[in-house]
This record gives sequence, C-alpha cells and structure tokens, in this order.
Amino acid sequence: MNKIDRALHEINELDYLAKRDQWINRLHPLVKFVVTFFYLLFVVSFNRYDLLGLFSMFLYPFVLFELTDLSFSKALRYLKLPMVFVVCISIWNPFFETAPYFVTNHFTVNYGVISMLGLICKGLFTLLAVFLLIATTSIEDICHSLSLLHVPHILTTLLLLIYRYIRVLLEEVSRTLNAYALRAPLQKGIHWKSWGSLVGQLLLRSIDRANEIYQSMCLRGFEGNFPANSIEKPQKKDWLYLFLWLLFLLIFRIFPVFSILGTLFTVGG
Amino acid sequence: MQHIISFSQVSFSYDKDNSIFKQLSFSIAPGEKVGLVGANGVGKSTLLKLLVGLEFASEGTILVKDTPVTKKTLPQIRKHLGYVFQDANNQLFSSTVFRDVAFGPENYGLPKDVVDKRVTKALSLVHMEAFADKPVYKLSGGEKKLASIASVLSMEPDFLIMDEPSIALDPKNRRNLITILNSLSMTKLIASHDLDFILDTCDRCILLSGNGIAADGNTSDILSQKDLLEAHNLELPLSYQYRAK
Ligand SMILES: Nc1ncnc2c1ncn2[C@@H]1O[C@H](COP(=O)(O)OP(=O)(O)O)[C@@H](O)[C@H]1O
Ligand SMILES: [Mg+2]
Repeated sequence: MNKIDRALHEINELDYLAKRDQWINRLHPLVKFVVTFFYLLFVVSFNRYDLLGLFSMFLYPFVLFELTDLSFSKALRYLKLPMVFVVCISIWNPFFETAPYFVTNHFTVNYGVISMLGLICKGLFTLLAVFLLIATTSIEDICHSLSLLHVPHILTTLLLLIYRYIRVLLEEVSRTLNAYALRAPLQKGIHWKSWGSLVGQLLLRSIDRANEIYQSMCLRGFEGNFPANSIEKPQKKDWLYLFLWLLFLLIFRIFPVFSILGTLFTVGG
Repeated sequence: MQHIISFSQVSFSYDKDNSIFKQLSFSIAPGEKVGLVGANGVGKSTLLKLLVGLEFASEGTILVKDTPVTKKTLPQIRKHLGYVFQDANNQLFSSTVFRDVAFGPENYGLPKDVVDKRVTKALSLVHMEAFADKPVYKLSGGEKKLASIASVLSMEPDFLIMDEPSIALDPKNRRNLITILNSLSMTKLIASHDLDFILDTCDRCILLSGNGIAADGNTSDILSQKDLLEAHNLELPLSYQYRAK
C-alpha cells in the first residue's frame, strides 16, 4: 500500500468508526459538537504556564477513551502529523524564554520549557477532542449540527463538499500514480518532466468528478440546506450529556482542582 | 398529457463551432422503455443531461410532464426524473449505502418513517437489502451500480434515465441488472452502445447520429438492420450475429 492509499484507508476507517452503532455515536451530534467546542475553548484559555490546570483538562479525552472502545494509541497514530507540527513550533520556546521557573540543586527549568509543555498539551488535547468528535460523528451530522447553530448554509455545504473532495482527490492521486507506475516500472518515483502534466490532469479529473458528485446531489433535491427532519431533536440523555460535561469542564476550568487536591494531601500527610 | 417527455426543435452545442444537436424532436409516452443508441461521442450523454437540466438547450423546448425544463422549474421536474450516472463512484457520496439511498427522500422533506420505508423498498427492488449498513467504498463495481440505482429509485421517479448502465459490469452482473431493470415498471430511457443490453431491456430504440435521429422505432427492427448500424459505426448485436450465421 502506498502512502496515498494509506491516507484513503484512514479516511475510510474514520468514516467507518463514525457510523458505528455505539452509545456515543447515537448521541445527538449537536451536543457532541457543543461539548467539543467548549472543551477547545477552555483548553486554549489556560495560561500557558499553568501546567497543572491544563493537565486537569486531560480528564475529558481520558474519560471518553475509557468509556468507548476507541483506541488511544490508534488516535495518536492519526494525529502523528499535526503533533509533529505542534512540537516543531513549541520546541523553540526554551531558547526564547530563559528566565528560570524553578531551580533545584542539579538543574534549572526555565519558563520556556514550561510553556513548551503547555503548548504541546494544548495541541494534543485539542487534537484528541477533535478526533473524538470525528470518530463518533459523521461529517454529514457535524454539518447538520452546524446548520442547527445557524451557521450559514454556504459554509456547511462548503465543509461537506471539501470533505468529499479530499476523498475524490486522493482516489485520483492514487489512480494516477498507479497508472504511471505501471507504465514506468523501472522508474523510482515520478520523473520531474512528468510532474506538470500529471498534476494538471489530476486537477482537471478531480474537479470533473467533484462536479459530478455535486450534480448527483442536486439531482436528488439538494439545494444547500440540510433536510430538517433527517435528524431527531436532542433527547433528555443528550441534554444530560451536555450538562454534565459542561459542569465538569467548568469546575475544572475555574478551580485549580489538582492544586487543591495536592494541598489537601500535603496537609493530610 | 400523452407524453412524459418531449423534445421539440432542440439545438445544443458545447462551443460555437461544432453543434451536437440541431432541431432535434422526439417524445416518449408513459410506460415506454426506450433505448438511446449511437457510437461514442454522438451525444447520448449530452441528451440525457439536457433532459435533467445539467445542460440547457440553446434553442427549442424540452417538456417533462408538460413543464418546460428551465432553471426555475428544475426542483419540480427533477422530482419526476431519476438519473443514474455512468460512473457510480461519482453518484454515491454518503458514508453508507443506507445514507446514500436516503439522501433523496430526506431532501424532499419526507418524515423519517417514510424515508426508512422508501429506502428499504428501493434496496429490495435491487436485491441489496443486506448491504444497507455497508460503507459504500467497500462495495464491488456491480454492487455500486445497484446501489446507485437504488439511490434513485428511493425518490420514486416516474421516469428512469440511465447512462451506459452496463459499462464495466461482468456478464453475471450485467445479466442481473437486466433482470432487475425488466422488473421495474416505470418509463425508462437508457443510453448505451451495448446493443445487446438495449435489445434485452427496451422495446423502442432511438438511433442517434451526428446529424440527429437516424432511426426511431421498434428495437428488434432497428437493431437487426446491419447496414443501418454499420453506417453509424455500430455493429449488429451479438444475438443477431449468431442468428445470421
Ligand atoms: N463538457 C463538455 N464540454 C465540451 N465538449 C463536450 C463536453 N461533454 C461532451 N463533449 C463533446 O460532446 C460530444 C458528445 O459527447 P457525449 O454526449 O458524451 O457523447 P456519448 O455519450 O454519446 O458518447 C463529444 O464530441 C464530446 O467530446
Ligand atoms: Mg456517454
């Protein structure tokens, strides 16, 4: 399997995860979306030196991975690429913020190290939360819940089409590369002379296909908005899920729960 | 209303220099099964696109159930028409077969229980009940074709339009598709250069050529005329070739 096929496989796998019949998949997409949204907001709002506070935000992904059968290590594999990106950005902090944060006999930890860890945590947590949303909610449902929140149709349709276009593009890339490889068996990779025409062809073909997919939607009555009755209204359990998470997250955001626990234990001990 | 669709004096071209149709006229009555045949590039697909409003005629009128095909009337006329794309990959886009088949009825705002019933019925018409919850990308070519037909049948169209349905199907799937099509009673227009397929599924046949309609009549009459077919870059259907020998 080449890299492109693997990417396609991963998209397909995510789609598959999203459409399974599990309790979290059955929850209303709107409440999952709102919880994710506030979670992201809370995580990002932490001071970047407040590591202890940030750690408490791990509660959300931790609990969800525990309660569902989604695999944490698999999630990390999906997030490898963006995580590398996050690490690359934050790795410079220790060099810029050199003021000491705390000093022991043996070494000094400066503010940069703390903020680097903070950034990495924020990156990891937000990515995990987005993964948890996508792996339990189909893209159609996510777009639908956006439109319930009065996000303009043009944006939700755009999101939906982009998502579909990515797959079409990947399929075309895979097909083009295979066709090329079959006819140039001795060549390793693609000769530079062929790049231009290959990319051009790819673009035209994938645009053509995306256009046809859009036409196929229009021919079946699609006019940019999502049918009002394809999803039921949120039920009691959905509201409860929303309420509990918001409550927990709010408590953990406002009170430095870990520090309080820490003092309790030190006082007790 | 005698005609479910009618073309009168329709002209169309993609660019100024070469026109695809000039003053094309024909009509189809409810219940007819019409095969649209012709060599590659004569404009079969284009004709179907004009009919469903993916392209618009430069001259003349196209009526669907007495309503002219214009930008404004599209939502109305498309309710009657079920268009099955040549490439099922481009027609199916949802995550599962069920979701794709439900897409049309949901867009027309039907209540959930009606949608579910329609999906079940459409899937059973093409014998795909067992595939409802399968992801689309896991289907074989033949299964994709059937799923794409189901996704159109769920809208309960009066008129089924298909572009090269037998292309890329192996003999068994092709035979299966013929049986299924013959079990559907609505009006049909099937574009294909697979003449044997047309012979097995249609009772009327329109032969399209570069200048317009070269012949229009009973399928077996037209498809048995060796000279006529060869003059338009087609060959006798295999079943007639054997008979001739
Ligand atoms: N989008 C397009 N733009 C310009 N020319 C086109 C387009 N689609 C088809 N054509 C041309 O129109 C002619 C008829 O095409 P088509 O209807 O696809 O033929 P058929 O389906 O009978 O094989 C062909 O010569 C083709 O090259
Ligand atoms: Mg064609």
